[in-house]
Parts: sequence; C-alpha cells; structure tokens
Amino acid sequence: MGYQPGSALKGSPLRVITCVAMLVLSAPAVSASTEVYWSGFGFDGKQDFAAQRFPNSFSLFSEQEDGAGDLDTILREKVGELRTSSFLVNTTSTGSIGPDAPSSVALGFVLDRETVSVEPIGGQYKVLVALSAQAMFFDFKEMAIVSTYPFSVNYIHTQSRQPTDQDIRAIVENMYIGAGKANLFDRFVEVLVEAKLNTEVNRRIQVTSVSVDPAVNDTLPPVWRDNLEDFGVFLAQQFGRHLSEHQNVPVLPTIKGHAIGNRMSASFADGRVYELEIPEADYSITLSLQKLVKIEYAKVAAGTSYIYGSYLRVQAEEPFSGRPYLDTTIKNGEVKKVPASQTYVDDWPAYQDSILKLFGKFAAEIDSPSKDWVAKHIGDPGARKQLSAFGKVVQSCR
Amino acid sequence: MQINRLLVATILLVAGSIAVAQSTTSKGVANAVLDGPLTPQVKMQAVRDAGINALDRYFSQTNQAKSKNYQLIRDDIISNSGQYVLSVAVLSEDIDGMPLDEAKDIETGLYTVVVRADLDLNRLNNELKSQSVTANTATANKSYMTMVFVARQQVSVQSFDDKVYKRTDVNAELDMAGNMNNSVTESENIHGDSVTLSDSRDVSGRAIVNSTVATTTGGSTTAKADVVKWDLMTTSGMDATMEGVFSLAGYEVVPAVYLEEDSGGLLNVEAIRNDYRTGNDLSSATLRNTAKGVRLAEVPYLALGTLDVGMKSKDPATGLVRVNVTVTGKVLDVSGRFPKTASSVGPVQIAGLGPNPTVARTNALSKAAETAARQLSDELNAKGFH
Repeated sequence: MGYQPGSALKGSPLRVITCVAMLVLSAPAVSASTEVYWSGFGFDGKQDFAAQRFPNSFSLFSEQEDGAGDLDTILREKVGELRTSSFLVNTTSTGSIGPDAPSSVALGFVLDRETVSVEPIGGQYKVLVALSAQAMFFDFKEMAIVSTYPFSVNYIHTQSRQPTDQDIRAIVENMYIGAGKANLFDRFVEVLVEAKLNTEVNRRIQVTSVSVDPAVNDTLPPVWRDNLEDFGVFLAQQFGRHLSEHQNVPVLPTIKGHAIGNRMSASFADGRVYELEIPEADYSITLSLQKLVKIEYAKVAAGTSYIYGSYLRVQAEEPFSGRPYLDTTIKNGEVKKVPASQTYVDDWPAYQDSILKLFGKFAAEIDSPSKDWVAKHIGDPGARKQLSAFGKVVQSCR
Repeated sequence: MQINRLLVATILLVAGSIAVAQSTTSKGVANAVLDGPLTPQVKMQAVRDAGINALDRYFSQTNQAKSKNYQLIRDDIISNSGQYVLSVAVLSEDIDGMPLDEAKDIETGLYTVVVRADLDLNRLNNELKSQSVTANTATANKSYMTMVFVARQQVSVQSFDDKVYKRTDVNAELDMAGNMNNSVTESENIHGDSVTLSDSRDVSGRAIVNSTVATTTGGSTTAKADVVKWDLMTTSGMDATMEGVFSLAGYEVVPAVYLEEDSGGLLNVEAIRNDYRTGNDLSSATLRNTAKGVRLAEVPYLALGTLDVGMKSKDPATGLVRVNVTVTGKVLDVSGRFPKTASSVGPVQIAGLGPNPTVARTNALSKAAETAARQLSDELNAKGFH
C-alpha cells in the first residue's frame, strides 16, 4: 500500500485532536487588541506657538513638567493599562517602528483649543472656559492619524468682579486636575473606553491648503489675526479631525507639530522615528474661509438673538492627475442669544462655533448628502452630485 | 468586441514618490484608447502599466547614477513587475475625463487610470546590485576599497576684524589776479607870507582769487577668513553604515587602519585626521602619501570625506533639537599611474531631529553617511568601476 496523506491518522482520535490543534494554531489571535503606546499630553499645532494659543494650559504644562504633580503623570495614572476590545494601552514601555513590529501606533492626548470668554451681564461677569482635545491614534508606519476622538469640556460661571488672569488659570487647572465634573482628563478616559481603533489605511486624504479671505481678518481675535498661517493650520487640523471622526477614515495631519512630531514620536525607542515624514496625499482638500457674518436675527425686550454665519469654499482633487471631485461653498449659521443687560459681546467664540459646526455637519453628511442639507448649506442643488462623488472618495479611504 | 490598446503608459513629467519607514510608494498613470466597452482585461492591463509607470517615476526621482543603473535592467524588471510592485491602489479612473459611472455607455475614448503603487524597494535594490558590474565580477576579482571619513564639529572659530586702509588725497589750486592804482597829487600855493600845501591821493584796487580743492578718497578693506578648529568625533557607527552600503554594492571594504602596515606607513589615518582637524582638505603631502600607500597595499579604491556637524537649533514646529550635517566625499581610483576621481558627492546638507542633541546628531550623521555612500557606490557602478 502506497503512502497517502493523512492515511495513518484516518478515523483515529489522534487525527481529530490534530485537526483541532491545527485549527487553533491557524486561527487569528484570540485577542484582536492592538497595542498602542502611550505618549502623554501634547499640543496641536506648532510648539513655538503653543504659549499664545493655549496660554493657561501651556503655562500649567510647562511649570509642572517633570514635577511631582505634573499633568503627564496625572493623565498616565488615569489611563493606566486600559484595555478595550480593540486596543491595549502600554504606558510602561516604548514601541518599535521596524517592519516586524506588531504595532507602531501611538496614543496621545492632544489639546487643540483653549477658549476663554468673559462677558459682563447685569453687574456680573460671565466666564466661559472651553477646553477641547482629541484622543489621537497615530500610526508611525503609515504616518497617518488612524483614528481620532474629539471631546471638549466647558466651564461656565458668573462672579461679581472682573476675573483676573489668576482666576482664569485656576479654573483651567481645576478642569485638568480638580475633582469637579468638568474634568478634561476624566472625559478623555471615558472617550477611550468607547473608542474603536481601525488601523487600516487604504488611501490617504489630507487638507493640504487653507486660505483666509482678508475680509475675515478683522473678525479674528488678535492671536489668530497676527498668526494667520497658524490659523490656517488650526482650520486644517479641525477639518481633518471632523472628517476622521464622522467618516471613520484615517487622515494625514497637515503638520506634525508638537503632539505628533515630539510627544508621540517619543513613544518609540528608535530615534529614527523623529525623521519620518508625512507622506504625499492621495486626495487633497483645499479650504478657503471666505466670509464670517453677524446678523441680528430677533430682538425682544429680554435681549437680542444673532446669527453668526460662516462661508467656506471646499475643493477636493486627486493631486497627481489634478482630477477635481468637489468645488463648492458651504455655509452655516449658529444662533447666540445676548441678554439686554449684557454690555459687551465676545463674538469670536460664536464665530468659531459656527465654523467648527460647519465642519462637523459637512463631514457627517458627505457620504450621503440629503437634498435638504444641500439646499440649506449650499443652495445649489447641482452640488449634490459633486458631494456624492467626493463622498465615495472619502469612503474609499476607510 | 474588439479593443485595441494603442497607447500604454503615457509618461507624464510630474512624478511623485515617497519613502516612508519600511514601505516605498510611488504614483503612476496609464492610458488606453478604447474601441469598445471597457473590459476588466483592459482595465487590468492599464493598472499594470500604471504600476510600471510608478516604477519609472520612482527611479526618475533617485540620483542620476541609480537612475542609469535602472535603465540598464528596466526590461528585466518590467517583465516581472509583479515581483517589485507589491500592490496598487487605484486613485482615480475616467474615460475622457468623465467618471466611470457616468461613462458606462461610452465605447470609444481614452481610459485613464492613476494608481499608487507599493514598491518592494529591497528587492529592487538587490536586483540593481545583482546586475551591476561589481556584482558580476567574480569574488576573487572584486575590488578592495578602503575609506577614511571624518566626522567633526566646530570647537572654535577665530574671526578677524576687517583690516581697513583709508587714504585721502587733497589737491588745492589757487589762482590770484590783481591790479592796484595809486596816484598821488601834491600842490603848493604861495601867497605872500603864507604857504598852502595840499595833496590828494586816489587809490583803487581790484583782486580776484579763485581756489579749487579736489579731494579723492579711497582705500581698501581686507577681510581674513575665519580660522576654524574642528573637534573630531567617534565614527564607529557612521563607518559601519558606510561599509554596509559599499559592501552591499559589491566592494570588499578594508578598514584603513589595517592597511597602514602594508602601505609602508604612507597611509597614516592619524595624519589624515589631523589635517581635517584644521581644514577642509588634506595637505598635498598627506594626500600624495595616502594615495601612494593605498596603491602599495594593492587596494584600488580610496574613499575620503568629511561630515561636518553644524550648530544645534530648535525646530519651531515640534520643539525638537535640529542638527545639520554637511557631507562631502569622493572615491579615488589609485590603481593607475595617477590617482583620479572615480565618484564624488556633496556638499550635501542633511538635517536630523531628536529630543536631545545626541539623538539629533546621530540621526543626521547616520542619514548623511548613508546618503553619501549610496551616491558614491551608485556612481561607481554606473561608471563601471569594480
């Protein structure tokens, strides 16, 4: 009798055991969790601009850096060795970027907005402090943000005297390390627990260029008016963040900046990680902030409602061939109510809200734009076809 | 159904290729003229052609020597393109500019596809090397090479104030012209016992003075070049990187210190290092002795060069430390009667980033060493030195 594969085991219990063992061995790993390397607290945008953009947070971060109660240590303790169904946070060792590395994903807390607004209302001062950040997963093999989960915490209170810089700083500090409900680090952990990590990068999309019409300049706060290039980077990163969040697509960052280039790179042992460059985009998006308007919407004895409107031109193309997919202007209006007793109105937070909500609405609608949405936010029914074409491109990046 | 592909792999001039971490990608484009509906076969062929176009574009972005080496074996590579193009992602496709879902009924027109291809760079480099003159030379006939590359950092810069010489020439001329009339009349009247005397004087004068002063200012400024002293740095890591690149290119690399004895003492690594401590070039005597010594040791190729580490600065975007390294080097063929330059590189500036100066410097030196060695070995291969 000649040899036949498997004949020796045919019908025997040993054969069954062998088959089961082979199945177990050939099956994917039981845990599909991707190990992600903790990188700590970072700032969105350029490092040398962080002190102006996040004055209170940067001051806290710098003063307490490497100290006993530094923000990084507190944040790391809160994150701990978090394990979810899709990832495991490694806070104790550094990763590798080599071809055999099981994971080259870093997780960071990236602060992207610090908004402080003080408005006098009826003999009191209304203080608003809004901090916005992202739980960002960045893959250094792909040099792309593979997932990002934005979140924000607002703190509002009134007081009888004009708040000092120390008052504001104390509020901001409390929002990081205080025991109150408005705690950004606690919110970060809540967001992480719900996060799903997708490390697939099929195609790369990026906001490559942003322009701001000179007519908008007067509306900007001094910190942006004097640093228009940084304002453009801010808009680009915010747009990308909304696209990634709503469409679950990886996006290329506009710049590496402090968060990716410095803090997240430090999660890897190999110093060559600092040399990695952002790859060329497969699809590029160009933004142009054309107009910001403030229109009185309704006026009653108790106060006035204003609409803060933003107009944004969005262009998308495949840059290699120059094939256009989208060229349209979208718009959005957000209402702000101003009590009659309010003697000064801080307009910028309302304008910013209008712009960022426009980004969010656009990103959420792009994969299946409705007629109503197109009518309300574009006005040209013909633009729906373009949006659908661009939506398919975005989906192809998943 | 009859479809003729008349135009394949239209070569555009704009190329885009990137190398990130372990993967290398490049974009490519291909066209096909349709004479019937677009079939999967036509599409597949166009995508394959676009992948080949991506390969061509990748090498068009590399250095001239490597690009030349690629041209020599291009036919072999594209006939097995599947081995080198790992995967392709279709980025856009259209027929006469119309998206495919709108051009379903079009049966004639130009189909265009753009792809991003993932290239197996290791395999490509191995193929290039296996086809090089050096690789095809028997091991016994392979050439030895030795090298002395020096990494150095400025320790002091003595600057000299400009020496200024000033000269002023004044040329003064005075023209004077004048005349003077002086007439005196005296009279005397005598009446009886009285005498009356009277006189009158008439004086008139005129003088013209013209003066001209011409001033010429001149001089010269002599600037003296800075005297730079260099601190030489450890080069073990950098040497290993360069030796690795030259070895992979098919050369038998012998560390220079092992040749000192065989060169009869003419090759003196310390003398070379000392020369580079104070200048950018070797002294004539050191260069002559080194070339002679290497030839005496029967090593045909000598690679020399410097990697100058610049001052550290802060990268404004990331806040990291940035260090620049300027690399310059050449390979001399000393096998003939007179040494001749076989290949050269630089000066090329390479920047390195890191959380501290040590990491930034190591990154910059490592990249600079690899860049220089690759450029030199590619050029040697392209010129047929082996």
